[in-house]
Amino acid sequence: MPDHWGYVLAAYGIALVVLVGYWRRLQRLSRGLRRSKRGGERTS
Amino acid sequence: MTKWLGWLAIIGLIAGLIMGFGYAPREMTQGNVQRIMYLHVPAILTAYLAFGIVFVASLIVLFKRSSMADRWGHAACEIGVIFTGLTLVSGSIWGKPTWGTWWTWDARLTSTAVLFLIYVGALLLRGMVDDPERGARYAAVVGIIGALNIPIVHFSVTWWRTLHQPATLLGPERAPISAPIFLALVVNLVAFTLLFAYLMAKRIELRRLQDSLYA
Repeated sequence: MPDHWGYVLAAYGIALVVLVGYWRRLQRLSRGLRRSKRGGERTS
Repeated sequence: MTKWLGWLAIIGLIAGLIMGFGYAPREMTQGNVQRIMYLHVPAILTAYLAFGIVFVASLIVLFKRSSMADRWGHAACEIGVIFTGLTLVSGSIWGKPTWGTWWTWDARLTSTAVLFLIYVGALLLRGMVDDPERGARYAAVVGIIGALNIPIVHFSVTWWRTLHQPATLLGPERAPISAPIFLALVVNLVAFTLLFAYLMAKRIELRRLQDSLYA
């Protein structure tokens, strides 16, 4: 059977994009929340 | 602690790639496309773990009204959905060259897709309800219903005649694979579990921060 490296790359490539994308989303959310927390502490 | 888990996960994933692409041999019948297994199998087993946590957390939410359990359940549900999505996509990509089709309404594939949709539903339901406490309770009910589907997903390949191969790990018999392939699979499973632990810690931390801000 041929090796189909293209399929292997596609599977791992999509997994990388999804996991890095989710991690970046968490990082963004974390930065936003910390900023709001600091803002809240300053105004109170 | 979270940072350390992150670094451990990265080291684990690199080790997993080395094991999957450098150490494990080329599979005899499928060729190198079988290497998708080192992503596909750990992804679904980690998703089982995530939904197991959702199940326990959901019971605690319903009976004890614990906000900590809700944070755990919410985080595990979100990450479980991601891992199940990766399982479906990697399985579909693996299916095309080996079965000749991207998708078939086989018992294993269909039950996994149902599992995915149930937990996406739980996340949507939580987001749709204005009162967070009520949202948590609704999501907990869906989380418990979803967990009942896990044995159906796992044993579908033994209960029904399917195109999907029998379980490689956690099957009723010894894994039908050679020792190097088994070892590569276990290393990748450990790496995925570390990644799951890291993402869980990070997501729970964020939920705690969110709760303290909007309480």
